[in-house]
Amino acid sequence: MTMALASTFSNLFDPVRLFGPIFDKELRVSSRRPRNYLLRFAYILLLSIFILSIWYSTLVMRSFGSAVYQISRLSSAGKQAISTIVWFQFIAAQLIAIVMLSSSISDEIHTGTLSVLLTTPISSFQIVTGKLLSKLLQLMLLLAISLPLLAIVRIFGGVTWDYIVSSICITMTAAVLMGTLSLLLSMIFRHAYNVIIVTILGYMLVFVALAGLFNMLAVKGIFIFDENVTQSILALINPFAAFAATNANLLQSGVPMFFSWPVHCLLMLVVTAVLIALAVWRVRKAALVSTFSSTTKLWPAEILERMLTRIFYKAGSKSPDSSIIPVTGPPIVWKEMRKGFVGHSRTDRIMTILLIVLFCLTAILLLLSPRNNIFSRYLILGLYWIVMIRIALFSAGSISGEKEARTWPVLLVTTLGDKEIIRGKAIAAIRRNIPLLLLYLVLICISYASFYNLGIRMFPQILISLLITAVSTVCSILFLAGIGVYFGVRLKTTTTAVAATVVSYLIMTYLFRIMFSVSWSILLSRFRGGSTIWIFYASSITYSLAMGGIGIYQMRCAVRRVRRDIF
Amino acid sequence: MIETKNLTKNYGNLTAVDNLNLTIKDGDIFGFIGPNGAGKTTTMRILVTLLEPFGGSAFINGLNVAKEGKKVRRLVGYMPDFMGVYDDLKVFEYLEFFAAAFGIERKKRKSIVEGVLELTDLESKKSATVDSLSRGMQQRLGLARVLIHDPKVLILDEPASGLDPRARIEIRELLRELKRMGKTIMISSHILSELEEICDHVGIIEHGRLVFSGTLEEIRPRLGIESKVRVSVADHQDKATELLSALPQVRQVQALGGEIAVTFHEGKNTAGIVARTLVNAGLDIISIQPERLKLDDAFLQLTKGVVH
Repeated sequence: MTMALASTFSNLFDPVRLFGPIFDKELRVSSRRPRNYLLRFAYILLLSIFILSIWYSTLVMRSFGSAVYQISRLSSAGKQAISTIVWFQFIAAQLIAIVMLSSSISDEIHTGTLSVLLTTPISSFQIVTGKLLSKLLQLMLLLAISLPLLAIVRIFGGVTWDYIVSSICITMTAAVLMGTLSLLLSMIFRHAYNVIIVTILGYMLVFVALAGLFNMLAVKGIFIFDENVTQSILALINPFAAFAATNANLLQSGVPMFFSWPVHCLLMLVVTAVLIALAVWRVRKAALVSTFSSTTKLWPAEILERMLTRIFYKAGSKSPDSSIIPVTGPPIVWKEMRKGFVGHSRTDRIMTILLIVLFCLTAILLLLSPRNNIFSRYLILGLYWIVMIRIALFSAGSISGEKEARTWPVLLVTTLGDKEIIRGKAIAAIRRNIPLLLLYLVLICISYASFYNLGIRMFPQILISLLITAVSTVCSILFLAGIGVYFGVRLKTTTTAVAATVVSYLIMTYLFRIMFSVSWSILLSRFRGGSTIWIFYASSITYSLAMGGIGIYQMRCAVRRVRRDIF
Repeated sequence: MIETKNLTKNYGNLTAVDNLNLTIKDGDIFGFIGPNGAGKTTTMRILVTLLEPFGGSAFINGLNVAKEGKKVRRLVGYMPDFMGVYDDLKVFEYLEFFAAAFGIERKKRKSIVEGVLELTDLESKKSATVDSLSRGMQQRLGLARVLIHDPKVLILDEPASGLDPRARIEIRELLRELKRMGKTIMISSHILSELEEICDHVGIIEHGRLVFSGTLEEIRPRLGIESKVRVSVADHQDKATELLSALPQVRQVQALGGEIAVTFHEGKNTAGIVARTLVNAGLDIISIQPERLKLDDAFLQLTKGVVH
């Protein structure tokens, strides 16, 4: 009797029975993929390095004063450290969820297995939830294995369990929401990198830029709600604002009038349920209409493309057929530039429109609200990363894309030199991003100008900072173009080549920054006085030049490897 | 001329091409046949400098493909088995891009592109985007691209695969035209009957080794296949059978309904012998047909390990 009851009970809650064989299959496959173990290892490694660097910067670097004073600082250091770590987790969890689910349906569509699945008794709901939950289970595992690290940091004191639980719940619901959105978009866009970029852009637009705009309007008193009510509403419906509010609670600064994290989490789960319902409704259509067709037009993007081409790209002599552009200059650069600044596919155009809207909103925030610019700071950082990902995408994707389209061998049997091919690809990747880079430069200038308007009248320092930013950006571009073509040559698919390029950039930036902060602290302890600022500038320039140098070296490596991994 | 000497290529423990010795004369159409995984594509990739040989050497017009890659690429036009196209380009732009990639001067490009478009009958499609073309047209565009730098040697890896019968006939006609233009063509295909109609020589490869190279007529004695002629006469079938049986070249005569099957010891001018004999005897011939050795049969026999 007991056995039968237990069996019925276990059958009732058997996840395979609930979510179908897709869930079972995904779990089986994921356990066989070494990259999942690598991801867990990399996540824990990064988190450990992150905690150590915060520990070093908050306690070791500032180890002056009596022992009693240092012990009294432990709780505030603990708060600072744990708040930074949960921010890291909040962003990392959402990014991982987006990346994990970015190709979940598009791969099935492309390989033709989705149509086959739909001819079986498996329901659309089981397909969607099976895919979603199997990936989210891995994400939960990642967050769970980081809990002991958080518990260790909690020993410092000053951090309540309520804060830990609320931050993890907000992080989880935000990750589930972003993962579901990514899954939904993977039914529309063919490539995982497009899904990732569009999801991040959408997130930035809705949860950062618009939230920042409403907040600014409320602060200026020209919104329907006052500042407190607006912030409370934002904290309820926006994971970014909710997380900021939870942190404000911990650090006792600028807490919204009303904020309840369980209500926020519930709202996020409701939105997720709506997205799942949409995905279930859409999945059958997605199997038939596999991807956006390249002929679909979005007129604002068409106009923009023509305008940019006229400004930045000389089409050469006129052709009798105006739609045919004669080949001018190096053929590889010409061919890549022929794709246009915006791109021909609807995905490219959606991305460009989202980017332009984001740039405009950021500029408005910077110009109208220079004092309260936390949103614009995050937006500038986000946009910088989007531009860098685009450069990675164009440099790595221009070669791996040829391999995927099977045009790479055809190009290699021409008389073009290996150096000419690689150089052309790298130059075109940079040139196609010039309009966005110029927009980014405009934002940086506005940002620095707002500092100047605020009364921080240190013109030489601002100018030097601007110069360092410019050098750092140029070197980052060189790094990404170089490492992008290298991974494009080495790897077979665009998604892996772009992912490898972006992860390399992330690691290099991150590791270099840690090395830089350590060397900076050592130098600071030896040279106290006016020379320290020059050491800071010199270190920044050295760090940037090293990145640029690595990029150029990788480009040369790519030239040497061009004919090794052709097929 | 294309020549390989003990050409070998390994992928780990697998030997894809094993001491391959091959000679293709200038102006020939050479059919390269073999089952899947026999080493055809690998051999072709080595010849067009996309792969480096593990051992041995390969020459095109006396140039070593492993050492003089750039010069070889100028001489060769290569069409891979699965040919991709740049879907964001127009047909004219696509060809002009490759003309530029082969270093053709800007002034000459337009006329050259128009020339190959005319040859491949794609003039009406020059403003169309490449991805809007049908599979057959994309294959023709591939051939146009191959011809853009006027190469002496064409290496075509299954150019007719996946095409409908009409497109296959068009490609075959195009290849005949290219032969008339004096190109040396090496072509691999799984549609063996097509190679039979256009090839001067064939090479059959299995497990990376060349099991046969020569004309179709040379395969027959190699396989020990008898030459047969089928003849039907208006009347006096018995007399005809008797006459033909008496011939010294004939091994066997069989009456099959209204037809007589004559089997010869040797395969030269067999139909002529039969016709002359019957006409001299005053018999009326309704039809006479020598039985051709099908390439498919030869392929099956040679790749079954019948001949080593």
